[in-house]
Amino acid sequence: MNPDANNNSDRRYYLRTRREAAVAGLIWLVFLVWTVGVSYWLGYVHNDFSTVMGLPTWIFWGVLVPFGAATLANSLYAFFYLEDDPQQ
Amino acid sequence: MYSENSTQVALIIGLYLAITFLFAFISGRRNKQGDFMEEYFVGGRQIGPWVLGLTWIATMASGGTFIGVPGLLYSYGWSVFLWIAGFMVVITTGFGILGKRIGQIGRKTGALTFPDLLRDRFESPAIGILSALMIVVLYLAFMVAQYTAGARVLEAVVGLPYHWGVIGFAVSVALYTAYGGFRAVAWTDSFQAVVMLLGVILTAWFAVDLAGGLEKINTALINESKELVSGPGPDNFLPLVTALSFFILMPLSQLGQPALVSRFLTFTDTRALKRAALLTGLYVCLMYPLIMLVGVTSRVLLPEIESPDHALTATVMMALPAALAGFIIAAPVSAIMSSLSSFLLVTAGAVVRDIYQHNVNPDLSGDKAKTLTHVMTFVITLIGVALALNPPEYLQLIVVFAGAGLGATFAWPTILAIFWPRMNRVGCLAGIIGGFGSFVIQYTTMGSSSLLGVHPFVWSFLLSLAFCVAGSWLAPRQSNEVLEIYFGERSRHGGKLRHATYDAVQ
Repeated sequence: MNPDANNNSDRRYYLRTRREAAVAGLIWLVFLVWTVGVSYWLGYVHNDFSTVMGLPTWIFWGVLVPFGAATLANSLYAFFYLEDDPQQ
Repeated sequence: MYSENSTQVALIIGLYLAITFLFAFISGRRNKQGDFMEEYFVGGRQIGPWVLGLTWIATMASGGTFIGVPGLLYSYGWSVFLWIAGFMVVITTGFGILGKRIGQIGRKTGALTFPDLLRDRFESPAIGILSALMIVVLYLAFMVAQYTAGARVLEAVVGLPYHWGVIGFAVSVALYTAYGGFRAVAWTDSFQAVVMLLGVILTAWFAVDLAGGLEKINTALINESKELVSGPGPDNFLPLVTALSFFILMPLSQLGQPALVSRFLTFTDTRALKRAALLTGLYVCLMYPLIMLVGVTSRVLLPEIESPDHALTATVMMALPAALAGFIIAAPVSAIMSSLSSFLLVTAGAVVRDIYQHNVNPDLSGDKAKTLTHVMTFVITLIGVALALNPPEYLQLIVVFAGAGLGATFAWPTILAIFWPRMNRVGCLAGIIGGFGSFVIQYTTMGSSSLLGVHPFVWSFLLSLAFCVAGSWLAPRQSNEVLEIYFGERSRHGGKLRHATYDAVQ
């Protein structure tokens, strides 16, 4: 195999995984802001003790819904963003 | 204490253990001839998506998930759900940041253990030995905590004397780990992960039903104390800054956990990793909210309980018929066993591979490697049992270091090792020492609330990054050979390593 081609392929793979890691970090940041922000606002500052589907409103919108959304984001990330290995 | 059903429960747990052994036996027979080390420690790098996902989750969920967390919910109500909410992104950060790249590097360099990864990348036997020693000491403490937790569950539920519980857990886990290595650990983990999930679903279902539904649970909690349904919870359990700390700690500390990182050395290819990420994401999304539900429901069902740590087991014994209860008590038992087996495998690997083979006998292979690994597995088990029967004074402190401390120590050295070509052995050592040292100092002087009320992990995590970067700038890069293998970089121009032009290879 041409060593330069091999080298370029390694380099591209490395850069690709680095970008994928950065996107994973971004997803973490988005859900940190959503979860802690909404929970704080509805559960700490303006808690009216209302419920949604039997759960406290702040838990529903601040933790449960982002939990579901993060799982969806994880699925989309894994299936549509993570690239297969170049040798496959 | 819950003796009326204890015989039936004990029988079910016995049956569950028998099935676990059957899994270990079948998987052990699938181990192929060839390089013993590669088969034993990474399953020949042939682990598929289901087993990868389930073994990862089973290793992550330890006894604390089923005993400590429901206990916290019992004591502090709904705010604990926010405390643990970081788990919603734990798969994305673990599989997305490290998974794919570690797998690729492992296939390329032949790394079998976590210290292998750091040792090869930084061409430093000293880093290999240091990380191996830290793994042995800290995971041994973790194992002792798991033996203790498991024995306490069996003591509370079926009345088995504590010392027999410890010995029973230790011997059964050592036997199947030594027999089948990683493949047996991964297969039994997978079975145990399924038991955990089914156990939690059934418990939540029966417990919520018995308590009259979610609305009634919430009303009962409000009537008892409004603090149970609002932040920051009773006794100022979770102020905003602590909530932020834990959303950083939960998903990021696992990036420095050798038992989890080394799982990424075992999968076949990225397709397996992607499916595993999808599967584990769904698993976490189901399991953690349901554990939360069981925890808060237990407060309503059992307002008087001798210890919050009994919240889950007591709820199970109250809400479910005996046969089903036995099956569900197997869930925490599963969590404990699956974590134990992983720690045992990683610890034995650290001694045999990273300390002995790399530094004393590089030709170690075949039957000799096998015998030594088995002997080490039982030696570590014996030490663990001795410590569990006579817990040392500072055990709990060491357990804390083994959890968040390992994360603070190894997360940045691992991330930068695989993503930053400039990182070198000085940066790695500085990051390990800075992360670990600062965590120890903070925790021993200020406990779990450090400067500005932030968890010590967060400061140590940031300090470790600063130490890694500063150390790396103070010393030259690693050799061209290493940079070529890891980053596809080959040539130097004007004293600086020239990155192959990104645009040209796009």
